[in-house]
Amino acid sequence: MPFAEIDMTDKRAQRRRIMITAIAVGAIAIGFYIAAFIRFL
Amino acid sequence: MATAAAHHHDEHPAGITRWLFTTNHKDIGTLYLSLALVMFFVGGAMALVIRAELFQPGLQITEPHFYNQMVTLHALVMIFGVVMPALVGFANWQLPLMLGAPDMALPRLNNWSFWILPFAFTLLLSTVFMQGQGGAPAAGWTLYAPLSIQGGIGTDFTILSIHMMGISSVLSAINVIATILNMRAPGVTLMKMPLFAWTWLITAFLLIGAMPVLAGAVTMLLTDRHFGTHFFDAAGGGDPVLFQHVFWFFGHPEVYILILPAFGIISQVIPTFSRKPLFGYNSMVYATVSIALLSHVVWAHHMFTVGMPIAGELFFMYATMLIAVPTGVKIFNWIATMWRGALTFETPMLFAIAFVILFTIGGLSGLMLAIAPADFQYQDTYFVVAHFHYVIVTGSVIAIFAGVYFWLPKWTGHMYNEWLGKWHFWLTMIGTNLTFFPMHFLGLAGMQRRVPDYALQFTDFNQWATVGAFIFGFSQLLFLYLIVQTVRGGERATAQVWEGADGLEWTLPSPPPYHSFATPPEIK
Repeated sequence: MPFAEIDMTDKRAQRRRIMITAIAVGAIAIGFYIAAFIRFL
Repeated sequence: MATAAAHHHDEHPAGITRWLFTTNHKDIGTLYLSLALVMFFVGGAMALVIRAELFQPGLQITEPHFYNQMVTLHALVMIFGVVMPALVGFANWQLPLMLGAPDMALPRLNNWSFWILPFAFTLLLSTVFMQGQGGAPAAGWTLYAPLSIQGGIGTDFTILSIHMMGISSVLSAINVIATILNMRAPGVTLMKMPLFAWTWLITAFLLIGAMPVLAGAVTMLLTDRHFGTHFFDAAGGGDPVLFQHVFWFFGHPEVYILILPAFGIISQVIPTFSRKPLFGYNSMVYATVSIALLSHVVWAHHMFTVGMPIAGELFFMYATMLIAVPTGVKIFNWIATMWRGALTFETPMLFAIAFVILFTIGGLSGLMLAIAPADFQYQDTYFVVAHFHYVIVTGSVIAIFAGVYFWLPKWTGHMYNEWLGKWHFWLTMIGTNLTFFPMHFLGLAGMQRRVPDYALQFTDFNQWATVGAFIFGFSQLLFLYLIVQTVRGGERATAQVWEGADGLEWTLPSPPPYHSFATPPEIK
């Protein structure tokens, strides 16, 4: 969890969390790109 | 650490392939900072062309169209090519070291983020050599439609270049967020992170919210120019004011993208040389979050004169003024940190103190500009130019100087020449203030920005500003010399470097091993 300590020993779980974070943040970015056109959709 | 193990950690490829294919956060940080330094001189040369032209009224050395190109490129280069890459360079170098992480979360993405940029800036700068086809973009860095729709091929190069810069920034932001949320060493909870990491986490979210909107705006510009759309063309039912709304929805958060990591650097430097912990850490974090949230709801203060409903003007006026509250909290906390501290005035601290004073001047002129009825008077004058240069040059840029002097011994393993550093500081102070302070008076007296000529009565202040700009510009050669000298050798830096330094990065030797924190450090 972001506000707590991170278990650094479980590398697999850490990689999974990194990918989930990256995909979620990337999706937000794509959302903002589409939102720029929102008046015309 | 000066053992065989340390030697093993320092293994890395040599030559050009090291830099092309590197996934190491330190190498990528160095690449970002080097690019920023090169672009600093490119953008600075453009500024000197502008100031040389403005030394006297009338036209001396440039055609008006070329002058407009210089104004536009100077801004684009300084914002996207200097301040942003420099701050990303700091993030790359410092975040893993501060958090106790072995590297950034997505190292290959990191390499890609950087290597997009040299191509983006080659595209952008190549337009200077296309004078036969209209030359570089000349509509100002804001690329306001419909003027930018009418521009030459340089505008298309710029649109592509901005898309590339945007992709690079978004990828960097993803990397920073993924690193801070998932790579902290055990014991480094969010509220124990150095403030620099907090400011970068928040900046990364601002990048995610702002850069795609800019990309959307310039995509629409591109389709208006070439694919028969009329997003911003009134003749086809479009709305040029819409471009301004979309642009400034990006543009205002962008200002905080340029300044929040600078706040982070200052929040590391001041406690170190005050030999006290940062005053009000929690309030600093909350103030940064507040600034970031407010930055998304104030964009129309850049366009008060466009003709908005009075309710809109009032909303944007009061929302803008509200930002002064969390910003004031920060200024107060930095001063309170210094209060009764055991202060010493090494070069990073000098730049940090100058930041607190001069950024406050820029902030206060921002408050003046936020007052809608007064803004009708200031709009498009040199008062605005004075304001944002106090924020970006004597804010972001000198915070970057502070950061470079602060961490250069850690990065290189050598102490810089303090005497030269102080010369650089004082010449920079004289140069910047001589350049930008008279611009307040010029603006209040009615001198318009983005015009290569001016009325005779503005001559004196313009000559002061030009002399200041050349002092500022040429004193940066000292900075370049000092960096090269420090990289090449000098007195060995200790691990802690500064007596009052506190944090994980100072537990590593100077320079840190190529691969650091392969085993997470123990935090008590």
